[in-house]
Amino acid sequence: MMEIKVIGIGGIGCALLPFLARYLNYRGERVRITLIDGDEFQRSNADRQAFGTLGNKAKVKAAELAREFEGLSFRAVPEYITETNIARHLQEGDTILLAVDNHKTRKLVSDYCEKLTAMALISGGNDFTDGNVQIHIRQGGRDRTAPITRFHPEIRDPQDRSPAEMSCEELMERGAPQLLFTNLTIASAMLNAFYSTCEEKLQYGEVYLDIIEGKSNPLKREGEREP
Amino acid sequence: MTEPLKQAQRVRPASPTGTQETVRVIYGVHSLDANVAGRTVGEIRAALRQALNIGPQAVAVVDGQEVKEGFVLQTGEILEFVRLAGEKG
Repeated sequence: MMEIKVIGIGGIGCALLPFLARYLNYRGERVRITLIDGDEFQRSNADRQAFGTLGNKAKVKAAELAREFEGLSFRAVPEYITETNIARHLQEGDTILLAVDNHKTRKLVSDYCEKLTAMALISGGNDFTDGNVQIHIRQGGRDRTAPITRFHPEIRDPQDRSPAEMSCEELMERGAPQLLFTNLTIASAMLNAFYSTCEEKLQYGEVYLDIIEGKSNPLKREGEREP
Repeated sequence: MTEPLKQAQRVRPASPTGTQETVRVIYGVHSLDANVAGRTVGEIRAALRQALNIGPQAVAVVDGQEVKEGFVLQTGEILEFVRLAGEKG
């Protein structure tokens, strides 16, 4: 069974999930999609995030998708990813779509993925009108593309904090303004990378996108070179 | 190199082609071909900082490997200043 883990069900996660599920539902494979997020949906996020009811984002979205796509299996994990629980939620062979809002969690997931023998990590992030997607592929214990920390010191040595480390007040106040269209652009790029990875046709390890300039730039990020 | 690069062409979208007489410099979605062969990464960063809006923390990469500010570029090489990753989601 193909195991897909979607970490972070915010603006990007909400945008990519319905299309990911629709694509997989009609592909005819056995697939389980696990949604992981400890956050609660609030009405103040409704300008970018689509949830039918208030409640934990992973639970609400998993229930909505299960009703619409009966051919897939959905599981909700209403937790933030932490050092304590990451081994419970990420396993060998997983495809991980990482759509969180902080570099601390990106580093945590990336470091863990580097210990796995085989996995695909597709990580997306944005600022207001631009962003990027990084793809780290490991096969047979070797990096086929570079880990997401390799050329990004801001992820390797994050200055921010995971939401698991914040108080309720900090969680309420966090967050720079974001634009729905940028979330959608990054979600689309993550799905493009997902498709290319599944088809073993991926030709880049990172792609930058800018919605004002209407540009994207895919770049190679080579993994380990053959000895 | 203290004066702006007069030879630098205008900023344009990245494309797979480049001339062999120049160095291709990339930052995020931007790319340009410039006659900067023989100059160091630090010199090129200083010269193109404004044209490409290169951040001071951007890691320099040539041929898939991180290089230091003193690295000298050769014709036909591609120098990328790695733009910071988007943080939000």
